[in-house]
Amino acid sequence: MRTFSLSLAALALLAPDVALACGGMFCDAAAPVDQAAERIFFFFEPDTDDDGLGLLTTEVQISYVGESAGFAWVVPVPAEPDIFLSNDAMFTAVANNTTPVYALVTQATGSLQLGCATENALSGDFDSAEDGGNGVSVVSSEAVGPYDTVTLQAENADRLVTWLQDEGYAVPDGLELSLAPYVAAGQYFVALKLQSDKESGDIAPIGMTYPAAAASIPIQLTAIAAVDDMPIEVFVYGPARAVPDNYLHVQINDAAINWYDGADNYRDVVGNAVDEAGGQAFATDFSGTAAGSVLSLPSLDLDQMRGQPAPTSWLETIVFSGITASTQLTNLMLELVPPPDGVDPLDFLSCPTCYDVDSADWDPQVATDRFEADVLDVMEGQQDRMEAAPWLTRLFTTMDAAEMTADPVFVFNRDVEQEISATRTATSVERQSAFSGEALSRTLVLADARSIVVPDASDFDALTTLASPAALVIEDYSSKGEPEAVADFTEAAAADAEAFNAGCSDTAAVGVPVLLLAAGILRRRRTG
Amino acid sequence: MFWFFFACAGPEVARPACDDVGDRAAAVAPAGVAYDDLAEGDPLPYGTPPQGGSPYSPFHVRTSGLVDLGEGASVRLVAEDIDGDVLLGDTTYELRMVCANVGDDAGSWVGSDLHQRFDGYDLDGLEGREVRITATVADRVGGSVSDSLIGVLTRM
Repeated sequence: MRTFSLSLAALALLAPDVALACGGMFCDAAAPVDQAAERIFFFFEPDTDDDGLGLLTTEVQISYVGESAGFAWVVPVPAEPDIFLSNDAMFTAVANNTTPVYALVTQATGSLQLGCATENALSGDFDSAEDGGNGVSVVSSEAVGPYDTVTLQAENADRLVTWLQDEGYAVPDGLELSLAPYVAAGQYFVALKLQSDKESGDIAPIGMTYPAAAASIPIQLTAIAAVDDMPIEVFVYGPARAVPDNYLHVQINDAAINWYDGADNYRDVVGNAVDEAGGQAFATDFSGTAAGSVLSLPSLDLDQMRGQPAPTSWLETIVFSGITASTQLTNLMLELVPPPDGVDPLDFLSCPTCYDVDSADWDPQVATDRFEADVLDVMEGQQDRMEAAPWLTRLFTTMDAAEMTADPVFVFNRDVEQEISATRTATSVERQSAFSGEALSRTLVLADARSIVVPDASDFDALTTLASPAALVIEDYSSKGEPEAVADFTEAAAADAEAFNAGCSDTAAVGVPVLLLAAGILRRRRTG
Repeated sequence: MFWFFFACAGPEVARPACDDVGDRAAAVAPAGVAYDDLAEGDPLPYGTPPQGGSPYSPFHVRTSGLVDLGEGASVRLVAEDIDGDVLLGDTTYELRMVCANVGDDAGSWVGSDLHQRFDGYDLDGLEGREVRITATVADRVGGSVSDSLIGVLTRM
């Protein structure tokens, strides 16, 4: 029996694409960092008519937990946008392909080891375009996927909030303050709410295309619903490496990474580095060729599917096609071909033809049209945008609401180093016991050539004393030229490493009292 | 049974000192232009901001002699038309600044670019106006310092 597990497919997507190349070393740790974050994608097509404006497509994942009637989403944009439904397949696939991977390569001496080095292969019913005398103009309205959308302009923020609330958009009181700068700047506003027959589980990513000079996140508006240290991942597709224009940039201190413990503190290190840079800064996770699409979009015989009389066979055609999994695809399949009562949906999708379903209302024409429009066309659009862009930059930050006081703008800079690998490597030079293979001594060699002697070969906690500063370099980028360093701790960090090594080599002064303390503890335990 | 523990005292990382260093001072300049390089009457670039909306001019600011701006500061930018005595823009940023330790800014508090928006104006309505830009930096304990420049708004 063939089986297919969407959940397993999703798990597979979470694993980084790692290629192994055998050599004289072995890799004992190649850890992708935690990936949960707010994600926003920008696709920038440069100006072609000398008006200073390119065409920007923004796609956003929307996280929401709660009642469907309580959902509303408002975002300012510089011009009237084309709004379209997006799909989370791209968000997951691209994020996984560009996730920073920390690889600790062990270089053994004293006994022979064989192994591999690792490298990351890497429905609205509004009157259109009129001001009803309330200071709010409805520019357009339409149904997009599960949403009713409306594009507005407003004379003041109070009236905009009142209008949204009157029209059933569950925006909170107090939003006026956050909206005011955007109203004053003459921006347009896109508002979404779920259609009355939709549920919060139907919430899908949304996309917008509009003229713009660069990509920007309306972070001041995000502040109203932000959590502490909110992780934000920004993916910018465009002609060159993208850099923050009005935020600072941080290069993190590799000594702050806990290399010997799975490198699972990357995000904390970036968060600390951003804090040291005043809270408004980004780190670059990856910058490189976009390398086309990462979506699996197999060629399906839609004509054959439109004539498929058995709904489970129709379903099986999709689930075994190799198409990139997404929440939207799963929801659509379960909507079009509901599982029998009492059957777990994922069990059903893993083997649709293992079950009998009621096919009385089955219409393969309608189902295939929905699949084509809601999934295939959306993914093809994403694929086209990814293939059209030569360069992808992934930036990361964490922010508190109090830090969201200026909207970050991202520009392209061809003058700076373009490629930033997602794979960061350090080497642990170890002298090992010829008998047990146990490490007798360890020296951590970072990519910037700093060597750090690990105390007692396994006292990794001691390395945390080298974790500050988290930002090795704080710098200011613009669209041209090299970045200007604001604060540079490179030399200080190198000196710290040397001092640390010198301190560790002098074990007599520190080791004796600790030995006495340990003896005291043992004595108390024996007499207790 | 004997256990051996070895410990290392953590080294102190040398941090630059910006608090209470000398007299209070501030400098404002157009983004990408060195402080004090803009002479009165020089062009002051403005244009449509990358994210759209009202016209803007980008500036950078540095200051010294104020207390712990790394924990919080406010920077107010005010743009006035000198001839007509008209307020063109008034924007306050709440932020945390960074103590620079390299280059000409070493020992001063700095940040990234700050955008002065000209809400209510279009590009044509600003062209050629002679404006005074005043940047006022304030710490959280009541200290503040200002600097001004005068330039002629010129499209980027």
